[in-house]
Amino acid sequence: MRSMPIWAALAMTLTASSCSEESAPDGLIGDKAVVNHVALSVGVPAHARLATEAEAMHTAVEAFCGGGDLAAAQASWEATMTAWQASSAFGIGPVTMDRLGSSISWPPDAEDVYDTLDAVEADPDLVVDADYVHDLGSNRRSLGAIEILLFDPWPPAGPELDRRCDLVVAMTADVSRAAAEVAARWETTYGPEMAAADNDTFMRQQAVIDALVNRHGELSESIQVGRLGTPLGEKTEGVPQPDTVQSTRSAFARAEIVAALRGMAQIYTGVDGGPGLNDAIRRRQPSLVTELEAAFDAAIAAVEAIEDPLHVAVVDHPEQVRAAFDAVRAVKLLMTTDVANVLGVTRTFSDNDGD
Amino acid sequence: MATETGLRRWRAAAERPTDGASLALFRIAFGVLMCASALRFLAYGWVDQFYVLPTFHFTWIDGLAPLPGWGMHGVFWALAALAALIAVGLYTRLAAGAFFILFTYVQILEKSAYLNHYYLIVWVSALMMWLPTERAFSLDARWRGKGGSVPAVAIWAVRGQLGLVYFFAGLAKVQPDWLLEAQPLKIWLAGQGDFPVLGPLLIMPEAAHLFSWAGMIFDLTIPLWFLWRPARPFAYATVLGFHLMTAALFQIGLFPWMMMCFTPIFFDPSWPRRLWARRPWARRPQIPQGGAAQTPAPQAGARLRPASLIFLAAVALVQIALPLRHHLYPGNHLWTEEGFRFSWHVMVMEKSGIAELRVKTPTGESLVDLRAHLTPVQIRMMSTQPDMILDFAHALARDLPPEASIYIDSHVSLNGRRGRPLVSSEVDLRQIDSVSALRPWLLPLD
Repeated sequence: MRSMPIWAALAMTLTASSCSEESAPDGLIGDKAVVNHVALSVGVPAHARLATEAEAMHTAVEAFCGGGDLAAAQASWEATMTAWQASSAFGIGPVTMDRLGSSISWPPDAEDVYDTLDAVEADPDLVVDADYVHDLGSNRRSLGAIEILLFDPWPPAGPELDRRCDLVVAMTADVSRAAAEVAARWETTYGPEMAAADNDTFMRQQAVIDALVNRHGELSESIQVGRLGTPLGEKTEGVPQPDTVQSTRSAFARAEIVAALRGMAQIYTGVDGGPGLNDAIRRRQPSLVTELEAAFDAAIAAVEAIEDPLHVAVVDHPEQVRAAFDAVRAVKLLMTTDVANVLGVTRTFSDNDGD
Repeated sequence: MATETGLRRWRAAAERPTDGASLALFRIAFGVLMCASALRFLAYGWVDQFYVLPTFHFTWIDGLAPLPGWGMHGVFWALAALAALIAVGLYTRLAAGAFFILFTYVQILEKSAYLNHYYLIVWVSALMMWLPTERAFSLDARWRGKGGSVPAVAIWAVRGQLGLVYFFAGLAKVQPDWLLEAQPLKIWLAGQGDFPVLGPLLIMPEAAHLFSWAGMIFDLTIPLWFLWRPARPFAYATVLGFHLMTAALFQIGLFPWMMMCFTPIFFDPSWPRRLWARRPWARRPQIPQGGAAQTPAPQAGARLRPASLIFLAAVALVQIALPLRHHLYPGNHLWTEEGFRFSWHVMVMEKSGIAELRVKTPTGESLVDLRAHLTPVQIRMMSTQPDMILDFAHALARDLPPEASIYIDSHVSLNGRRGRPLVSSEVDLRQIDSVSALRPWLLPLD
């Protein structure tokens, strides 16, 4: 009987604490609100935007092939690529399933793309639609292949142009279909599952944070080393490798990197005043938020300062690319050490269970 | 003369015939858990991830390589089968010996897969080759008519093994990071806000401090509480509470279940028979008056051969010396990891970081593409562990011209500290002697 007050106090504490889901004990925003906002207000719209832009690209390319404006079609490709890069800050979920990601974007092989075009031109009876394209290898379709066909010089009016149009329209239809599928899955299942974080996909809020921060470590590494360092000659004793720059025909590589960095930063800042991962960091180590924001700003500014196109800059202005390489590296270091630490993205409990 | 009498008394106590029931249950628990562990490794694709897919292995012995894929899968199927034999007690010691060899082989193949509880399994399986765990509840006992009693030292050997794990795990927590900063628990608990009911309490900084101190006291004292008979039920309840909590909070696989299943060895050796006799559906007459139910009559205890005593003494000495060896090295051992492994430093560190290796030749400098050589897990583990960095650098050097040198830019965060370089970027790793335990090429933590 004498222990009754203790039990009552404990029960009240637990009840009160379990009611305060949205805010942490210190009054700051809790992880639940952060995860919910990142999933539903950043992730779902980012993928919806991708689907919208992909559909617009398909429409614009059809319009061009119907006698419309090539520049508009090319601009629509750039808008779709921008949306794709921004959504790549997530890089998890539907894009990893059923070849959906590779249907949207994959490094192209120009020779294979033109082989495909030759085959299409050689057989006027061949039905070239989204299904035909979908059965091609990933390096012959998706945004990478579309860029080649859309930005390389077009033949004059005639059967060649018509068949090239057939192919590129089919490719944009394939991309649009995949993007729509990804967006639908984000909206109906993946996004809500991520937000709820009480299911087989994400059992805990921490699982969402782990997945995102690990993804950002990988993405910043791939931007730093793959998209900037390799062309700069970081792997080849300083000899620049401009051929390894992506999207050289559209000269869009620099803008793609900026879009990817902005997409990543948005997950930390949140949108429309909503909470992002910065709020989760702020609750644990406020000073790191300022540092991370400064690192993102510096990286974006450094990449934007590279004179377009990137494949020329790595040869003519390597110091600009080097500055961007270092600035993105700073983001990577923060992601893989300090941010990971502060957000409890544990590495101790290794993949084979335990410590 | 007095020493001789004392030794004789010790030996008599060690050989005293004791009910082997609790030891048998320990054996069954070990077998079942190890069988499950091996099957999990196969089911989760970890055999491929750790032993088949990597093109480079961080082995403990130079030149040692894993078997081909089918062979490594076979090793894990064999481990599961051997564990099953141990559980049912058939050819028990032979099975334990084979299990020890295969499990140790697997462990020395890949440093990135090192876990404290795998190290414990190596020792336990080594002990099981020597201990008569098959004397009760086993097919060996049933078919070969072995008696149910064992020398007392057999039970004390297992108790000692588990006690050492707890004690040194507790001792490892007597350090500023754990006790003053509540790290790394502060990091780990910060992500537990959605833990059922307790979540909002767990993310309070005070919770990390409370858990840190409680964990340290638990680890240091739990073996002692088990030694005091009246405290045993409470001690075991605490063990259950502690390990169930850690199992729920952290991804630590089988370790909590191992300790929960193994620690009943601290109870009276006849506890399984007593418990069985008190089963609700038992007929009352089966419970003998005033004694343990069906406890085997004491038999002449097996005379301990000097070799057995020397073996057990050597095991004890090694296991006491290894966890203390880090005191011989300069610097913070959590940072340098000198003397960290094989020391029961359980859950005392959270490290993350990156390692960028560069090869310099007279013609220029190139960043090493780690992904071309290592798996993501290997990269992650190597990035914070100096000996693995050196292993990889030396392996890399084998394919480089003699004039090439290897440097590293490392950036590591330990227990919530801001990231900082771990290894001097000015040092040519190729010139570093990997045999030397001292590592002056590491930069200080503070």
